[in-house]
This record gives sequence, C-alpha cells and structure tokens, in this order.
Amino acid sequence: MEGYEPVVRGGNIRIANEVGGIIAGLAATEVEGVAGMSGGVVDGIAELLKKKNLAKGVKVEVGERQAAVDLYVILEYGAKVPEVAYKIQENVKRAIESMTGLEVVEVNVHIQGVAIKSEEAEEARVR
Amino acid sequence: MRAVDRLMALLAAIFFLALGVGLAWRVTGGEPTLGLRFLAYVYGNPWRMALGVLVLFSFAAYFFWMGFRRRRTVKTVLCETPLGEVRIAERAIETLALRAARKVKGVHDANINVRATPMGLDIFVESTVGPDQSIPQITQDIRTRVADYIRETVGVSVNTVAVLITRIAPEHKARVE
Repeated sequence: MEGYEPVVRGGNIRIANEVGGIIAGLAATEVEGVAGMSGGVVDGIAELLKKKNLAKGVKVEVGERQAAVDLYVILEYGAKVPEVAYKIQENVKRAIESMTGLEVVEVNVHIQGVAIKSEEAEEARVR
Repeated sequence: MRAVDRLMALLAAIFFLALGVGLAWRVTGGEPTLGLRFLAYVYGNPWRMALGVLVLFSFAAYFFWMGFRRRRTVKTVLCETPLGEVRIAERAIETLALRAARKVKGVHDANINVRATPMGLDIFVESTVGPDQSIPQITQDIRTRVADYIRETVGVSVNTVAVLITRIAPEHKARVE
C-alpha cells in the first residue's frame, strides 16, 4: 500500500493513496454542477460512476509532504465549466490539506463528459 | 470491460478450468472422463477437427487482439489555472454545442464535431432543419448561438463554426397547441 507516512512522537501515521482518493472524490462531488466521477471512456462515452466508486475517478500521487491530484469528472448540463472546475480545485485542495496535512501542489481536472438530467432530456411535449 | 470481453473471458475461464480438472483427474489416477471421450470424438472426424481448430484459432486471435489493442485516447482542450490544469474532453464540448444548436428555432437535429486548434475551437455542425425556414438566417442563428454558448460555458475561444444543412425534415403537424 503506497502512501505518506509522517513520523510523529509516539508512532507513525500512514495515509494511503486510496484515502486521499476518497477525500478528493467526495470533495469534488460536493461541488454544485458536478454530476459525478468518471470511470473512463468506453466506446467514446464517459462512464458515470456510482457514489460508492468515488475513488475510481481519482488519481492521487502522495509524496513525503506534498500531494498531486487528477480528477476525472462529468459535469451537469448548464454548469459553467471554468467556474465549476475552479471550485473543484479549491474544494479538493482545501479538503486534502485540512484532513491530511499534506500540501496539495496541483489539482488537475479532466472533464470527460456532460450529463443531461432526465427531466432536461425529457423536455415537456406540450406546454 | 465490454460485454463481449466479459463473455470471452468467462468462456476462456470455463475452458481452462475444465482442462485443469480433467488433467488433475488423470494425474490422480482417475479413469478417462467425459472430456477425454469428447476429445476422442472430435479427433475421429476431420470436419469436427476443423471446427475445433477454428474455435481455438478464434480464441487465440481474440486474445492476441486484446493484448495488443491500444486504449482509445480522449482528445481534450487544455486550460491552465493557478491550482493546476483543466482538461475538457472534446466530446463534452460536442454535447454542449449539440444542446445549443438544438435550441435554435427550426433546427430538428444536429451532429457536432469539435476540433481544438491553437487559434481556438473549430466546430462543425451538420443540421437537419424544418421546412419553410430561411437557410441563411438559420445557419447564422446556429453559428451565433453555438459560439456564444461555448464561449460562455466553457470559457474557450471559438475560431469557426461551420454549418452544413444536410436535410430538410418533413413537415410535422402539431397535435396540440
């Protein structure tokens, strides 16, 4: 299990990459405009992951004092991409830094697709 | 993993499991079993052997292809921010442009292709429009609507929006007002 292992008085604290991934995934999906994490692209279509697979759309590289995060997300239709992407970066950086004490040097956001809500997709047939 | 990959992996697992169980049975002194009798049955006829060879070669060819096939890369548009990179898949921009194009009055359907260039995005729109529409007006509306919407929501400059009207949809009489 790879991860960051700071030495403290009384023992070691080991933070696994997977933990960083879950923190980042949760922080990213909290942002308004994010439909969910993306599990990758199958036949050109981005796969929207269920809530329990949050860490799968995240890659976290943990060093001794720093961490770098890559997030693969699907946004909701109507969201302003630069605004939402910046909020994701801020939220993820804040969450990881406050929970693990690591310095987050970069948060790269990969927008894999746009999800159209069911009510949006099924526009009213008559008005 | 796609459904066909799962199916082939399952069939291969069953085949190798059966082979392993059969061999283990013989190693431990068991009598020739159903599997070995089946092999003898196949071996006894050239047509059955040819079929067996075909099945095994198909398996081999499929797994060779699986092993050497390249992962599809996602084309992206890059934006830099102080906290890192933001990469937007061209397919995501295509979805947004499609919704914008469909909202233009008179447009029935559209097919979008986006290409990122150093000058900005080149967007190609193939559209089906309703009858009795002014084509120059509708193409201008599509251009403006798509370019404005992409600039506003994605924050990336749009270089060109090329519109091609591919079909005039047949008239559809509304049942309700």
